[in-house]
Amino acid sequence: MSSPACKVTDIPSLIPQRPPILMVDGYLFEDELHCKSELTIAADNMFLGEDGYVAEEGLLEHVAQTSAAHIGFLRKQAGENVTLGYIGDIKKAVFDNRMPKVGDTLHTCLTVVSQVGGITMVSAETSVNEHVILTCRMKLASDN
Amino acid sequence: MTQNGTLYEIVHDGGNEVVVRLNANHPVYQGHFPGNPITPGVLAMQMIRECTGRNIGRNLRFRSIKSCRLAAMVRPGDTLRLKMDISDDNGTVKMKATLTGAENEEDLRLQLDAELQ
Repeated sequence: MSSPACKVTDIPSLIPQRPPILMVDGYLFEDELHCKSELTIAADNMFLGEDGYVAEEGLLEHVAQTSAAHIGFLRKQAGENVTLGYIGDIKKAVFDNRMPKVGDTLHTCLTVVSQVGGITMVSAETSVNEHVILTCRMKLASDN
Repeated sequence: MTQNGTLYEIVHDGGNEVVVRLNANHPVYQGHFPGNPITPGVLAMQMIRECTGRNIGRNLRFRSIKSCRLAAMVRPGDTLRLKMDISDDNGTVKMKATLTGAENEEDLRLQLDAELQ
């Protein structure tokens, strides 16, 4: 069993995504059903729009990769390899009209709602400066 | 960054129905995933958002997504048909979209039901 509140910054050790679409730079294991993550928006972030703000799809990818990091962390703890994962569906996503820009740090709290086989359902809340900018539910499918 | 012209190109523009071809050389495939290129579902969503905005003549952002089902993988080089059902009510745009294979509409890739502004 993992010890509580284990922080990982070597994110590529937990997830299969690589630059230019790496959208998590810190992961904090809380327990098997809960984790946190963060991402500071760099000037070369591929989801930055011409208006200087991160596109909504970038926030969704950040949540998906937070889920992937949690799944990867648990797999590594069990002595298994990190595998590919995919978004299966997204439900009830609500975005604030204040989107993040370069230098802002996203903070995400993620809860595993259910996990059956390779299908994981999560709910997530993403904030910047303690202001919630996204809530959503997401289903992810992982290769075995 | 707008993905039109980089991630995809519109090869047929029929208003609410467009055919797009995905550029296999987009840099995202270096990272998603190394040696196994798969189009990120979120970039397929961005493509739909941009095509919706193009259809009504202004840039749009998602305000909420009621549901988005990613039914099957989208891969670089795919040619896809996007059908959009769009209503614009005082600046709030309601949109339902389906993304399928260009030649086989039973080849469902993505269904999206969202509100944009």
